[in-house]
Amino acid sequence: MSYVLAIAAQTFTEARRNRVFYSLFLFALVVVLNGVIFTEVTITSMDRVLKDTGLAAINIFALALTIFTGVGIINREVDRKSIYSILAKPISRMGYLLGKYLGLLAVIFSTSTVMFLGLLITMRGYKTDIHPGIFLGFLGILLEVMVLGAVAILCSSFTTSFISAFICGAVYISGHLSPEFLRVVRKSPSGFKRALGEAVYDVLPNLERFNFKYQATYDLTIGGTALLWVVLFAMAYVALALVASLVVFGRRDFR
Amino acid sequence: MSEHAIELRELQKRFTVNLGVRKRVALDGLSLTVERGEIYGFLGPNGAGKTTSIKILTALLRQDGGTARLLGQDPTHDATRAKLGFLPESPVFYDQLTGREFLHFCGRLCGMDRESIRKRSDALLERVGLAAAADLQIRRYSKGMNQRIGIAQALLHEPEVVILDEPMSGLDPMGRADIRDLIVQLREQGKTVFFSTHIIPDVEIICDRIGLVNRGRMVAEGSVQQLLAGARTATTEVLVEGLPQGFRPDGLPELRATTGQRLFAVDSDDRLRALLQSVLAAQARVVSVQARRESLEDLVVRMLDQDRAAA
Repeated sequence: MSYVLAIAAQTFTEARRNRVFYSLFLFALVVVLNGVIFTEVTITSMDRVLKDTGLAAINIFALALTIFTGVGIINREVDRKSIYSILAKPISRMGYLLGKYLGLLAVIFSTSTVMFLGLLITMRGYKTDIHPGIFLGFLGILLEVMVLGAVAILCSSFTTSFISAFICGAVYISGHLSPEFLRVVRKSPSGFKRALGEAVYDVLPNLERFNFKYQATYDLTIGGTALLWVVLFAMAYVALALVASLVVFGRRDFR
Repeated sequence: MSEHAIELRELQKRFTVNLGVRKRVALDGLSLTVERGEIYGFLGPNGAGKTTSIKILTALLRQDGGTARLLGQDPTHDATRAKLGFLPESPVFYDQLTGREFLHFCGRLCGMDRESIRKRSDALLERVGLAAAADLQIRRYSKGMNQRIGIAQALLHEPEVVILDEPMSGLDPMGRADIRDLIVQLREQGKTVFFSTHIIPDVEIICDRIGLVNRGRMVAEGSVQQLLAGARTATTEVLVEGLPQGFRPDGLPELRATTGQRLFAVDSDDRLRALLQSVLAAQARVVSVQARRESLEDLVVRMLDQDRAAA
């Protein structure tokens, strides 16, 4: 399976050398700097503003990178036909998908980690306590992009970048609104509407599960078992999305 | 070792077009065999089914019917494709990587170790004339250079069977000659080369056998000599001198006219007889009468025309 790592490394290198990557990174740095400015003009709760804006910048950057890189990661290769010489090699389509996914995660995780380290250094500079809650907030962001990355791979395996980006955006928004959606749906007098709404809720990932920004801001943590369930939920959703990608991509004809 | 290098039997493939409303037949019972150590030229007009057949052999497409075998095995198995080298038509590669990085990547996909990749990459970059551009990003490569790096990646893991889809496309005459030499060298190393092309003179020079495909079916197959045995006398050229100024034979194309000599081409015995009679009547002298046989290109065009007419 060393070829999976080779595909991941190639995906990482390609993304790292893309100009869009640097534009996004620059944008994220500007947002982090804004956090410093906000901190300077805030009268109270300086540390909370710093953590809030810092994590928000990392979250926006990770999300944008997942969508920009992830949605075209396979269909761009199909459109440009660069996939032809690769899939004719002695590799499985599952291995190819897995390599692409790991490469995407490598790009997002490495850059997000650099930004997170920048945030921690800034916090130290402002003599703010570094509580485990901030790590929990960062872990939540990583789990969220893991799930969205898998959704991006699934979309990219069968449709265009534009539609993939649209679907990923919709999954992100509805994933954060799904608890509200469920609450509204359960108030419906129609049994059919309730059942349909609950089915939609079950299919969509509840991304609010990964939102630990409150804990990060107020220096809180959650129990080990609760955290384990959140991680398992993310893993299960990733596995589901990748298996679905394989079902679609494994049967696909490259005309 | 008894299996053929490539074997296609009654291959069928249809594509849906117009949002699935219509089906277009791409392969209609195509059969062919390529022996080990042979150079096989796969000829045919655009849309004849060449690339579709190649994509089935490389597991990029799945056939609707029939069988495809590579060294006696199913090409959809990864182990089978370990013995295959493939250059796609108008290839595009990862343009952010350098040529050397791309070959390293391809070597890792084929399960090669770092040292073997380094040695083979250096040798192949030299062989395809890209040694000086090895550390340049592929996006800076010309079309010809892209084609060359494509050939290098196809040969990197020393495959037994090499499938090249339009390998001469985008190359200048020197580049074409170089690739022809490379293909002949591969045969000398005992490898099988199956390539599609539109450039018939290349086929004529290097191929052991040729398959002519049209509308998804095999129209003719055999060695160049076997196919040319069916060539007709296309035209007869008549060189004449001493013709009077105003002499104009009816409807005959005049190929060349110099001081005192004129060259005519006739396409039937009746017209030849008529021309000779009129020349002699004009008291001119027939210098030579030479029959010109169809070239492989003429023959291919005629076979395709006949196939179209039969449809």
